[in-house]
Amino acid sequence: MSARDLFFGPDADFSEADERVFAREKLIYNVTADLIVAMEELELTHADVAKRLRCTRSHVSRLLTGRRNMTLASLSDLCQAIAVSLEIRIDAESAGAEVLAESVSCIDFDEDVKRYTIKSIGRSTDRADQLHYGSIHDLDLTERYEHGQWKAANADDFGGRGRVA
Amino acid sequence: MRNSPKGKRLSMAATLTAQIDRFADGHKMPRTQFPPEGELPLRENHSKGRFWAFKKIPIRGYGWFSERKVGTFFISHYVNKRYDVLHERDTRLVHANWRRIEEQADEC
Repeated sequence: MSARDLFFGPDADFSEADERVFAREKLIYNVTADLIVAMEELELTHADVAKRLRCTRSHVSRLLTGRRNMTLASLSDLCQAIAVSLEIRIDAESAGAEVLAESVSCIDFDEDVKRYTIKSIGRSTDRADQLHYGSIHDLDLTERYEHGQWKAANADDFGGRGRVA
Repeated sequence: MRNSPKGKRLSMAATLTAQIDRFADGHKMPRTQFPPEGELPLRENHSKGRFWAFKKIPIRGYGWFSERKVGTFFISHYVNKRYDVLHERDTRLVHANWRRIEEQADEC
């Protein structure tokens, strides 16, 4: 039995919108739980953190209970106030990478210049045989290599998908 | 869950699901959200056991670590409450479920 079965039964069917709610609440719950665990280990109260952030205790409480949406800025501020490091990892091996795989047969990563190069696009390659990605932190299809020159790309170059990041 | 606003039910259930998943995956739980809440029935030659609470305002779920099935945590029941103290009727229900599962090995 999964945790979901407990509340919905084994035959429950979830829409994409429902799955987004599950993913969202899981992220919110785990981020706030990690922050609270860190605060408990450092013996910091909501009031302590509020004092460091120069905001009210109830503001901190609302953030940590998920009653108030936490922005990346407020997450960063909270981590700074608690004195814990923050690492956000986006798993490139999940859905986004699968979409790329439909049309790309090979991706090279150049360690020196921190760039991805995609070769052998799985469609007509009469205009270009290589496409260029931005830096590793900015997976944005910006340019294509054509006749020895990098040129600005447009969404049509990628089967209408446009931005991948 | 029926007492939660209709628009909030899915997100509340999703949060409770995330809470159980985090616990089952072995991640540390915040003490304030998973405190020891009450005592289990006394048994001969056993030290006092405790039951615990999954807290997510206004929902609370009570459960215990099984001695009969090591590595298993049984959830007795969930309640919708807006008060902090443990209600006697919840203690009675946890005890009844604990006796049924731990002593009579009846998990149904």
